[in-house]
Amino acid sequence: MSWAAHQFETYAIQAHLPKRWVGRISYLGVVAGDQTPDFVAKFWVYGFDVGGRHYGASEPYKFHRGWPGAGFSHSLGFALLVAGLVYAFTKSRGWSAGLLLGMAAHSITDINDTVGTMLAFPFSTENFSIGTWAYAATPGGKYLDARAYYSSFGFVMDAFWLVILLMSATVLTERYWREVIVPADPKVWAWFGRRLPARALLALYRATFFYGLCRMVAWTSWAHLLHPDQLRGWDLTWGGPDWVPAFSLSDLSPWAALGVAVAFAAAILLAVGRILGPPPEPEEAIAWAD
Amino acid sequence: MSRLPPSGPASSLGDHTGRAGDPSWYTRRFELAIYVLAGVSYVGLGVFHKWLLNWVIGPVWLVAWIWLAPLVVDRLRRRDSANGGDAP
Repeated sequence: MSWAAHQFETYAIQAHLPKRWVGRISYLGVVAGDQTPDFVAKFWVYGFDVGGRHYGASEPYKFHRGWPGAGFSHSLGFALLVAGLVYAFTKSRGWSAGLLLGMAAHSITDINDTVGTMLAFPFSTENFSIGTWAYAATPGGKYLDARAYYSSFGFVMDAFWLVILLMSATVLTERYWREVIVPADPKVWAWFGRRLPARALLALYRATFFYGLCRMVAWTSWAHLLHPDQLRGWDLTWGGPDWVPAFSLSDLSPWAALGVAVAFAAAILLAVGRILGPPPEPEEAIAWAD
Repeated sequence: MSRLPPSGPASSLGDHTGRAGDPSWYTRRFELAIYVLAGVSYVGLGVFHKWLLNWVIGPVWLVAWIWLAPLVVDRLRRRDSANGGDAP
């Protein structure tokens, strides 16, 4: 699984939208979509303790990403289902497209761990992984998982998305928020605007970046500065760190996973294009903006 | 990339934010300081209390700082000025 990469990628997507889609896709939809796959499954992955008894998945990686289990949450079929339901109830093209993009980004990013994701569900229950770092979620909670992730190429992945985002830092400015983000989602921002001052709305937009950066710094500091473990240190090798068992659900080659991921991304982009339709004519755009 | 037209002259950190709802003394520098304070306090507490590091509390933490810190400072400033006004 990925950590802060899931926060940073939402802004990177927003910053690199095709010109014809800019101002038409809900950024909040992208964030919600990026949270949805793990929102469905994550609480049972780590589990919780009540009265000294642990409740949760006995084999977290199978529950989180497998079938039977909640692996469907990281798939094309689930992304289309959720986006379709949201469209059916809200008729919001911007939110449906945003959800699709967010869920796709999450599912594709997660093929980097050794368990991978069921991208092609419901057509296939095969997991696709390129095994960049070890999937390390265990019933014991997130501490071992965090230490493993922030000692491996997982940290590099977070840093990579952070750099991509900072190279498009305009996306975090107030002007960008006012001129691109708000017009794409006027009703939701107006709803927030009736309850919060403008500075808090802008902070709300930037909050995903704030949270991603802070959790990256906090967990990395904890693992390597505050509570370093000589036996569980940095290991920037493919599939590492080698001090944790790297769970897996597939024997397919990484190249096959990459191919499926590209096809998955193409299918999502096609679907987003169909949802949004052609760009509005200039007169329509002006009327809509009013 | 934002695909926005080039912006006008950048306002300095000492300028007011230009937002209607912000106090008159609320400058960009002050706002930047609140962002930094929010981040430092969140990381500082989060490394010792990991339950704080989740996707609900993180965003709420930032919004609460940015929303409430100016209100608190504004109230303190008014109290100070009221006390100063009463002074002989």
